[in-house]
Amino acid sequence: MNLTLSERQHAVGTRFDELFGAELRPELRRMGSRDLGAGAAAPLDEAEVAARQAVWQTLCDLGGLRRAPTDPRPGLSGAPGDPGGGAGDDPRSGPGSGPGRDPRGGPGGAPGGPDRESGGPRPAAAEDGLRLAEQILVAERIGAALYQSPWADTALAIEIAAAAGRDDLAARMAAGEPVAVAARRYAADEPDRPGALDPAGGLRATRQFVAFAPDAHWFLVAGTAGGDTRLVLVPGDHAGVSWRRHDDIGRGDFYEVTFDDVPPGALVELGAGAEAAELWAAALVNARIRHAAQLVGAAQAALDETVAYTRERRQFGQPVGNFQAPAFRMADLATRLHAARLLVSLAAWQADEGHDARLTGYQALATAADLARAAGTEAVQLHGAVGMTEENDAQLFYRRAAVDALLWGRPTELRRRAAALLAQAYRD
Amino acid sequence: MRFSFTEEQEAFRRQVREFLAEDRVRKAADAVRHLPPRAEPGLLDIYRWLGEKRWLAVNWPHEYGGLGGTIVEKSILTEELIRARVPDLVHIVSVDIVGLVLLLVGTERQKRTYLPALAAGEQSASVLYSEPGVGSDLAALRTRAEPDGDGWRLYGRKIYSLKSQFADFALCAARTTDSDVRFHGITLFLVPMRTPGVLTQPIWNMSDEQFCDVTLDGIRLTRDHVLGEVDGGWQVINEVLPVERTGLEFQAKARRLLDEVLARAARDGRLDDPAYQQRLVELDAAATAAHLMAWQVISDLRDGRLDGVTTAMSKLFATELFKRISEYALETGGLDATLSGWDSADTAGGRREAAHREGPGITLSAGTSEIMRYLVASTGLRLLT
Repeated sequence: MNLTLSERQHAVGTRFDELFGAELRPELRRMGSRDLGAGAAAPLDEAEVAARQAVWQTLCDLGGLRRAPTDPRPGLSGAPGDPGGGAGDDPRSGPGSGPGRDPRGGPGGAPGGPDRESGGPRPAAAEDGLRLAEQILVAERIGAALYQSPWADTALAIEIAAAAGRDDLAARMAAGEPVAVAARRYAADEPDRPGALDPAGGLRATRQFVAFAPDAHWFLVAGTAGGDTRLVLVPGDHAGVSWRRHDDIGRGDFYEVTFDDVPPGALVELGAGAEAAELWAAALVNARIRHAAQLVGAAQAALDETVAYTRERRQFGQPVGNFQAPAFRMADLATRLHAARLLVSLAAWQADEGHDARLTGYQALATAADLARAAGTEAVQLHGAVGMTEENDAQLFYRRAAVDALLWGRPTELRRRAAALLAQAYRD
Repeated sequence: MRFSFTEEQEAFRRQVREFLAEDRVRKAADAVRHLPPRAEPGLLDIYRWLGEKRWLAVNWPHEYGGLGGTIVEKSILTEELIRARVPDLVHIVSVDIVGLVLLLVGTERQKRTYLPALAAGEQSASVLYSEPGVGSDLAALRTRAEPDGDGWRLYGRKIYSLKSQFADFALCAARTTDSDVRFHGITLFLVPMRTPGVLTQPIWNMSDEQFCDVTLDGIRLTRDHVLGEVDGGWQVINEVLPVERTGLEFQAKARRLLDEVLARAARDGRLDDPAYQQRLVELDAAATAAHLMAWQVISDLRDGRLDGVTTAMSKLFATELFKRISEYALETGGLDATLSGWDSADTAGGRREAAHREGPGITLSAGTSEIMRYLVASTGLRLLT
C-alpha cells in the first residue's frame, strides 16, 4: 500500500493549480450564475461567454480530457448484475478492502511487475493521457473552484465514443468539442434509467437537466426504445434542437432540451441494445467516481472558506474559531473529508486496475454527496448571516451542493444499488 | 497511490493466516471465548508460538527477537489476529506500545534486558499513565518519584490501566521535578510489577477487560529503570502517543463486527430491506474508509513520516465507527443481539453484546474523541490557537 499521491498524480494536480487557483477562483465560482427567477430568457453576457470559452480551451489544452489508454470498459469488469472481479481465493486481503467480498475490486496483489512502493514511474506531461486516478485530481480542483463546465459530460462521452470504436470523435472531444449528456426525460429521473426515445423516423425526445446546452458541440442522447438502450450523438447546432434554461437552486447552466425530428442521417449512433446498456452502465461508474471527486473538492473549499473566516471573525473578544463548538464541527468535517477522499481514490484505483469499481464507486459518491451538502450547510451556519448574502460564497456552496449531490444519482438510490452488490457478496 | 500489498506482504499475510487456522491455535482461541465471566486472557500460548516464529514483534530487529520487518508486516499481523478472534490487547500494549518506547529511547542494555522476552511472548508489559483525577490532562499527574540515594522511590496511584494484572513490568509516568512549566519534570520509568510495593487491584467495568488500580508504595528505582531522559518523559509520551493512534486495530475490529452484521443481514433479508440497507451500506463505506485511513498512517510511518493530524483523524473515525456499528448490530439483531455468550439461548458467542460493552472504552483510551477533535482543529485547521 502506498496511499500518498504518486509523483505523477502530484504533477497532474500541479498542472491544473494555476487555472483553478486563487486568482481565477472568484470569477470561476460565479461563472454562469444567473439571478433568481431569471429563467429561460436570461441572456449570456458576451464577455462572460468569451471568458468561459477561454477557460474551457485552457482546460482542454492542459490535457484535462486526454485519457490514458485503458481497457475500453474500465468501470465494469463483470457483466451487469454479476458481482464480478475476483480470482482471489480470499478477497479480504484484496486491495484496500479488508473484508471478504469481490465487488470491492477483486484480488489483491499488484498486477504484474515487482512492487515499487513509490508511486508512478515518471511525472506526467500535458501530452500524456490521464488515468482515473489523475482525473479525480482535476475533478477536485474543478469542484473547489465551483467551476461549472461541460468537463464531466465530455469525459463521459469520450469514454463511450472510444469504447464504441470512435477514437476520432473521442480525440475531437478531448481537444475541446464540448458534449452535453442528455439522459433524463424528467428531472426526477435517475441517470441509470435513461428516458424514452421515439424510434419512428427521426429523433424525437425531450431531456431535462442537460448541462451547458448552448455550449454543446454534441449532445449525447441516452434513451430506451422498446426496451433497447440507444446512445446517439446529435450535433449541437442542428435546427431540430432547441432549449430553455432551468431555474434551479444552483442557478447554474442546466437546460431542458427538445430534439424535434432530427433525421437519422444527422445522428451518430454509438451503440444500441445490450451493448449500449453495458457501455452506459460502465461509463456511469467512472462518471460517478469523477463526480465524487468534484464534490470532495467542493466540500474541501467550503471548509477552507469557513476555517479562514472563523479565524478572522471576532465575537466575545476572540476569533469564533477559538471556541470548541464551531472548531469541533470543522474538525469533524475535515475528518469526513479525509475519509471520502481516500474512498474516491480507491474507487479510481480499482477502475484503473480493471477491477470491479461499482460498489466503491456508489459508496464514494453517496459519501461525497452527503459530505458536500453537510459542508455547505455548515459553511452558512458557521459564517452566520453574512454567509447567506449573495456576495458570500458560503451560500453558493450550499445551493450548488443541493444540485450536485443529486446529479449523478440520489445517494439513497446509490446505496440501494450498493446494497444489492453487498448482499450478493455476503451470500456467496 | 497503490491500494494493494506487495507479493511479499501478501505471502506474509497468507502464512500468518495459515498459522492462525492451525488446530492448536483454534483450540486456544476457543478456550478464551469460553472463559468464565470476569476472567480475561493474559499471555496466551498463541503469543509464544508467534514468538517462536519471530512474528510477535515482526518489525523489531533480529537481535531483539523480531524479523527486521516494517510496521506494514506488524499491521498485517494485527489485522489477522483480530480477524481470527485472537485477543490482541496484551500483545498491543506489550509490543506496540511499551516495546516501541523501549526501541525508541531505551539504552542498549534496556533493550537487551526487556525486549527479547516481550518478543518471545514470555513476558508482558502494561502502561501506567492515568490517575484518579488525571485523564486527558496527563501533565497534571501526581505520582511522585522521590530521590533516594542514587535512585528514587515511587509513590502514587494509577488507575484505569489495562492488563496490569498480567504485566511483568509497566511503563509508568511520574513526576521527578516540580516545575513551573508543567510539561517539564515528568520521567518515564520501567516499573517491575511483581514486587512488594506494587499492589494491583481490579476495578470492574462494563467491558470484558477489567481496569487495574495500581498502588505504588515506595518501590525503589534506579537510573536503569529510567526510559529516556530524567524529567524528559513528556516528549517521549507525545512521540509515542500518535503511534497508538493509527486506528489500525480499531478499524479491524469495526470491520470484523460489521462483517458479522452484514453476513447475518444478507441471510435474514435485512440487507435487501430498504429500511435497513441504507445504514448498512453507509457503515460499510465508512469501514472501508477507516481501513484506508489507518493504512495511510501506516504507510506514512513506514516512510518515516508521522502526521499527528491524520493519525488523530484515523483514531477518531475508526473508534466512533465501531460504536455506530455496535449500536446497529443490536438494531438489526434485535434482543437476540443483547444476549451474552453465557446465556444458553445465545448462538453467536455473545459477540454483539460484548462489542457494545467494549465500544465506549475505545473512544476514551489512547486519547478521547474530544482530544482527537482538538488535535484536528488546532494542529490541522489552526483553530483554537
